[in-house]
Amino acid sequence: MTALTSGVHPVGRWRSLRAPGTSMAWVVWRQHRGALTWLGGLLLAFGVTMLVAGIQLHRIYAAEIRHGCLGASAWSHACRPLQNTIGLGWPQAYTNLVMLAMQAVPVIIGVFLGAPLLAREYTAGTVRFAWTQGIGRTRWAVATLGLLAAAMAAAACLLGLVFQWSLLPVAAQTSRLADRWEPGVFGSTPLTAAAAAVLAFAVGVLAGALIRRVVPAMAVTAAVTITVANLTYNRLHYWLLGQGTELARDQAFGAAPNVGNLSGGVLTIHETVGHATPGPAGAWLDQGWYTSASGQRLSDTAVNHLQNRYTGTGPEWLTRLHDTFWVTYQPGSRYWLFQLILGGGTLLAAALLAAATIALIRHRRA
Amino acid sequence: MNVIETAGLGRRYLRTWALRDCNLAIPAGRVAALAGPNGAGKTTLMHLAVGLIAPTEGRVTVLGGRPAGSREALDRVAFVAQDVPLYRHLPVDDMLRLARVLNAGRWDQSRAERRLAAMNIPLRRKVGKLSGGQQAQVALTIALARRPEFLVLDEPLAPLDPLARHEFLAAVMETAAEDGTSVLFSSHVITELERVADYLVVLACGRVQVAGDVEDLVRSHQLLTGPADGVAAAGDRFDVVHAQQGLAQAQLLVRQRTASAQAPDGWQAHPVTLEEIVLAYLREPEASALPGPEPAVIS
Repeated sequence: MTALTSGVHPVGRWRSLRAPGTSMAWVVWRQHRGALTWLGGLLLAFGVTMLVAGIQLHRIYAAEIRHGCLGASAWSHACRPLQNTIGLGWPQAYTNLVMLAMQAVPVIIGVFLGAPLLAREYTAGTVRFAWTQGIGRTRWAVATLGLLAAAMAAAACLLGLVFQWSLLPVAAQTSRLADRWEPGVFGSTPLTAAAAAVLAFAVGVLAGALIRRVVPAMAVTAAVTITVANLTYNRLHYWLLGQGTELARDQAFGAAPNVGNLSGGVLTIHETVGHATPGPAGAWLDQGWYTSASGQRLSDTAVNHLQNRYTGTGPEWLTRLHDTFWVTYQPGSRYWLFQLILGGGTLLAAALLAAATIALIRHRRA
Repeated sequence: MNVIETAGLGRRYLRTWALRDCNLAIPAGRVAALAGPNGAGKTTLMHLAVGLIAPTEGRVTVLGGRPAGSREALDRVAFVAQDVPLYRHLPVDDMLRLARVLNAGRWDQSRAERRLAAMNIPLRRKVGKLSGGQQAQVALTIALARRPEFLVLDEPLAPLDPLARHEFLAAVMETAAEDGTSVLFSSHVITELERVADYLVVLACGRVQVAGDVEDLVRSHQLLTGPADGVAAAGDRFDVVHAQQGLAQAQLLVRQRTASAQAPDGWQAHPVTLEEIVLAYLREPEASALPGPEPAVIS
């Protein structure tokens, strides 16, 4: 006999939960084996795809390094096909596609694993079984949700790792597509991808607990997680990176600002500075504006006029006119700080939802 | 020790009271039957007792004062819900393993395996593929393997054929006798009650109508037959639960006010079965008899 049957003592009970084959982990796996199997298969296939593509990309990248193709003026006969492939060929489409796929991963986890988790227990009536066992409903819920959330976080973390690695050659080659500050990349690092997966899972579980029917819970989860992804990648990202920015003069950038929308004299740059554009190295540029010699901010019309008149006349025109281009930016050194803020904030939101779910389970009728 | 005690217990769903003003104290060591028509509040009372739902008002404790649904109560109270909800996609042996993890500490694996083997329930078959009777037996097996001190069964007989009912009740009785497990079960099948129950609770319209020891109930109730014009006289000495009046004759199911109450002249008294008592109360939801022990007041 194992410690299971003999251990009436609470310590024995906790120990038995960790014993192989008789643990909560086994219970969770056995109950959700179907969903976990196909979900795991899907994520594995995605990971392998990125791995294969990544190997190709890194091979091209290695060849470029070998031929010295990474310099700005390295247009040798050997380099051109390599540069064309990464800069214009399939890696461009690949990059856009995997970014989208990485954003879809949390949605899939929330919809197909999170939402049915409690909703199915309610519809099948098995809550009346699960919640009347000796373990108690709170510990049952904490163990189930915790183990599945941890598994999903680990899977998303691995995918984020492969994703980042596979895009390194693209990031090194093209100025912005796969830069680490770009929302599609920034939001899918091992940290942020794992956090997003946990949040979507928590959304799904709470939806299932509130709605108690599988399909409606899945629909609501899809709507909420897609909205969250949209907000994160399109708004939250830019808002977050606009907080606490540094200010700098950048005449070279101001002389040829080929990006952004101009409104009220302020240029929204929202772009990173790679090796192709000047500016604080490795930084995220938020906004920019021109001031005249008197320190007055130039209006839209004045800026448009200047650019139409002088762009292409050389990098010195701005200084010649005694105007200044100012730029707000996040230094590259803050990258991990903002990673922690986004990842931590996402995890915090997930923890709040999980706490709400547990509270609901504790206090609501079965 | 009382196996379940309620004081002013009530549960409301939206605007409807499923159970109201329920004062009960069922002594430990009994097999208690919970009878009542559909919607009387049987399931609500059981769900309150196992902590699946919280009371809207009042208190409910089990096994000598443990709050219903608390960890120390859940550990010792096994519940088989109506329609025996089990994980239908799991094979029986995995269902057992799962229950074993969820009830580590008190679980009796060999007991579970013995029971299932005795009933020829294939361990590798999925629960959902078993017959209704076999599923009920698996649910009961899991409940018994938890070695509960208090076993709560909600309509356990409903999905069973007569033979399976017999076997199921035999298993419950055996456990009650061997382990001293207290049992509370609800049922529509009144004929079965008498054979197994030694305590009876009848609910009607969310209120406790009858609660008491079966022997006391049978002893204190009588069927009186006599002249139709003598009903008033009989009513002076007895509480009339249910009256059937013809032109000349009347038949009354009555409860004695005192142990020495005698039938009036011209009346004949017959003993009644538990089934007749239950039916009489079910026919008269307004009548009530609470001859059992006074509910303990929970401070």
